[in-house]
Amino acid sequence: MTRPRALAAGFSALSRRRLVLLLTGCSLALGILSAAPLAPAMNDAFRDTLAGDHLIRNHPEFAPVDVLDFLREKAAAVAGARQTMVWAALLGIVLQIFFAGGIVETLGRNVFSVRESRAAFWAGSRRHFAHNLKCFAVFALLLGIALSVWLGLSAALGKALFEHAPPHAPGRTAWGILTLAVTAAIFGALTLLYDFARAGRRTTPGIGAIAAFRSARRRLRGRLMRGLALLLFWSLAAGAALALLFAAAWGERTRSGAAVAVNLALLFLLLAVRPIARVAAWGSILALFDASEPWGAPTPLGPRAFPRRKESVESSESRVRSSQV
Amino acid sequence: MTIRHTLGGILVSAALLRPAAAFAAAPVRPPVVEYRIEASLDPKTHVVTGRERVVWRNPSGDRVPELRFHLYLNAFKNNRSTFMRESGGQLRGDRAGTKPEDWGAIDIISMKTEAGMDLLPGARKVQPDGNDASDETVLAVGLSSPVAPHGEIALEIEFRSKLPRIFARTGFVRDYHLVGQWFPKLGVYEPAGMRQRPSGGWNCHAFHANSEFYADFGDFDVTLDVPSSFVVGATGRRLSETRRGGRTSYRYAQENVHDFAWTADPRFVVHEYRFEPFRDVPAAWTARAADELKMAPADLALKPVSIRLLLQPDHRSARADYVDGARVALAFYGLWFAAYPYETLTIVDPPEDGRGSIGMEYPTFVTGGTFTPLLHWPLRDARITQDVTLHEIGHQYFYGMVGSNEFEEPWLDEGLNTDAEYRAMALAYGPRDFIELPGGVGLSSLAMAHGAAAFQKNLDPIARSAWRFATGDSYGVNSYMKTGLFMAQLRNDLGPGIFARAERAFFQEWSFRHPSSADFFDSLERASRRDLSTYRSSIVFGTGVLDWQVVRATSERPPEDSGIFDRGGARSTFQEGRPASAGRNARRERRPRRWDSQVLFANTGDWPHSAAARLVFEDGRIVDRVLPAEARWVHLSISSRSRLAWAAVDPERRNAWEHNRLNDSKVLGVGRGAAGTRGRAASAKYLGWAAAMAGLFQQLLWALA
Repeated sequence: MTRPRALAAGFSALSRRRLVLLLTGCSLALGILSAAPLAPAMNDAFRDTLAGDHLIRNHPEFAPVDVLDFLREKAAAVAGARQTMVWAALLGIVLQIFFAGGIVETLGRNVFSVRESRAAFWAGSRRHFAHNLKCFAVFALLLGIALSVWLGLSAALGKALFEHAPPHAPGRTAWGILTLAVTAAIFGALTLLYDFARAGRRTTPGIGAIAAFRSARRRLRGRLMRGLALLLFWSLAAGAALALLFAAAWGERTRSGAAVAVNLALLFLLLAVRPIARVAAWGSILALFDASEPWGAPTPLGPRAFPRRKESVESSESRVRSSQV
Repeated sequence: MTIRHTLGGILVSAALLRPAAAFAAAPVRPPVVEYRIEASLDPKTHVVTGRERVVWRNPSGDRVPELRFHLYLNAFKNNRSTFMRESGGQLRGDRAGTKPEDWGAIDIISMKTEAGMDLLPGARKVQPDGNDASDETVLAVGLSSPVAPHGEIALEIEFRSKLPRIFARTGFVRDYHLVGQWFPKLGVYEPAGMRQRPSGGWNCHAFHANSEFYADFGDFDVTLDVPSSFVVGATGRRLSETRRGGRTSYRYAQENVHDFAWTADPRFVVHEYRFEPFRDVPAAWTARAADELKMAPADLALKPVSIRLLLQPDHRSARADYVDGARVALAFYGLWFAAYPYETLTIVDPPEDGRGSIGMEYPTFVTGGTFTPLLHWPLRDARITQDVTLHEIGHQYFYGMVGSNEFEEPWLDEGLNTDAEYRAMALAYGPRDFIELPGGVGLSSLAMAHGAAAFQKNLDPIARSAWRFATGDSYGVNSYMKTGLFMAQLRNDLGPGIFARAERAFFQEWSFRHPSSADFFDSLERASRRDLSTYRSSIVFGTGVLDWQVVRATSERPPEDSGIFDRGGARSTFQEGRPASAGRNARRERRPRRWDSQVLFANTGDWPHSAAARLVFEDGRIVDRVLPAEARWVHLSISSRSRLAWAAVDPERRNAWEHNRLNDSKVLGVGRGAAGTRGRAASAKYLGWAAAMAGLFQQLLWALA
């Protein structure tokens, strides 16, 4: 699989509008859930007061004071929202782990109908959930170990090398950039490994988490840099889109009801950026994964994709091994 | 003598013992103290060795049997000093070093009179402020013969100062040295009557975590010997520069200051800037100052000042910010208080790993502070560099010239300076003077002060000794922000003209003197001809809170007439506007339909102060009232042709002391008058933003999954 093909697979994955909407909808729902404790406080403070008027007009002197007073007077609501946000974020992680099963099952595969695809998605999500949870645990462990070792090493080496160097000395700055770059590379590489491990169920439905990571490591050989480049591309694209949309929403200062509606729509788009980028990245990564498949292109969705739990399934890995024997 | 005045004692003394005569504004000549110091820096060991000749002239009619010196580097000698105990080794986000080489101390090697009498045997460390028996920051030196009334004494002192790793105002990091509180410095001998003292005595406090300055005005002549590769900046004018071998001696002199600090670092990049009033003072500012002060613009003429900016190499792009802050400060303080009286001003830009020395004031010598993120988008217009520079230069006036006692009344220098800083920032940079972010969002200094003050628990009054506040935060909020708010309240109440003239009168009366809080109010009351006792008792010496609010607002059609009415000599009975005798189908009596609006205002704080009230009706009519200071609540009832759209208390926000702005208004209508308000849209919009930001935060974590 060449890089342009994997990239194209990412773009074609975006045709899965329902999937993008599902992920965005989840994000929005969790966002609303998080903000819900603020609603009575905001209504009390801004709905029928001049403070709300100052805020929406961005009054240069009064609005900041009103916001500060809101944060103090409604501190309990703000604390409640913050707490809810953390729990909602954890729930969001679980949902992502859940959806990953369906994504792996259906993305980049030929489907006969929308209905079939939807059924396969939910079936895959349910079937691979336990596997994906285990993969997440392995990923989190690996990430924790790798980053701790690297950042600890970097800090110790940095201190030894630059303890007496002034701040922003060229060497110190270069060391900081290197640390960041390697941290990002470690995160990217482990993300690829994690995604490949989850994608392992695409070809080997019964594979366990540890075996899936081992298999993923083998499959990533020779493809790591391509994978990192793909992740970087989608991250940069998402970052740029986020920045543009945020700037548009932040800078939008008109006060009519319609303008507020437009602003809220921009915020919805803002929330859609990450799901879009993730689906696209999934498309690219799965294309890269499929290219590592010894038998070539992935099989279309069909009866093979839905093995019964007790059915004996011969993995492509074992087939490779037996053929070597 | 140990100073154990309570604030109440000071006030009683004020009434009984305040000298009747007003002080002159010119510095006292000859000065109370004169220092001639020769010091040498060893940058490897970070040790300054020095010889000091100090002359002290007794300003009182007392016979003074001992002298008291500040030995403030001993605050960093160990973790038992008052400073370390109070700060816990942390101050303003900075942490003291704990390695053996990180500690600092000052040792007196010898101390003799001019006649050669050794005074060290009679010297002892004293603890004037409490029970920290191990504190070594104040030295009492017994004299064999007391200093005669208005007599003088000269001492020769040899000392050795080991600088600490930069922490809280002084020390070193790498080759950067900020040398403050480094030599034996005399305290202040306060004669009876000065600052309402009942009897004369030394005022020489231990070095506390939150205060460090109180000394007499005098003349300094200091020679500093450093390796030639080091760039040096110091208090005063540089008189000479002598190179000998690998070392260079710099001689500095300055009159009428009460401290001397210096810096040395081979990495400094030097920028010279000459403040020229004709170029750097906006004509509009001069006109405004002249108008408020009722002075001719020509009488407000300022003098040029040589500014020397010592920048870190990585902060070159902050040059314009520093210069801007200095220009604004010299112009604003010069116009509204007095022309900067010295010829030089040195601004030091500390390195980012020496942030303990950020934002410090010494006479004609200040440290600013900047960080690399502030030099780039999107924080380019976060004017923290300008603000810090402006604040520290402002201290040349409030502490530098008006020499209040920072230990006992920190609000008099930090607070008054903070107020002037807020005004200067607003004048120079507009309503979002402190921080302006892309997208038209920002914060003024005064808004920041409101937020900081309101977030703190109301534990202390503004006027309190620096080490007696309940917490470090309480010290900070009261001494800086709340004083800024109090002064803004006073300015709004008196009017900018009266306020400016009164404050200038205080400044001029107490330049090169040591005023107290009582002196401040006396001076302001005399100049403004107003009774400021409520501000004094409730705000400065009390913990008064002002919280006017709209408790309830309604606007309804009055009910139709029902009941028995004697009108025009006849008795009629009405049922909901209709004559009862005419039955249900009779027409209602035609009378103009009006609205009855009821608004209940209340001050739920405990500081009685008036406020403006405004009622706006849907037809655009505006009714303004004044809510009297003594009222706990006020009920307004107005009959009008149009419905009440909104009611607000203090709509122009002139009560800077107001605690909570969210309860200041009620919006009722949705008609033309209320159409000006869009609170409902705001609620929806910002709830949406809250949800979106929460969603984005979750998505950030989803990167893991």
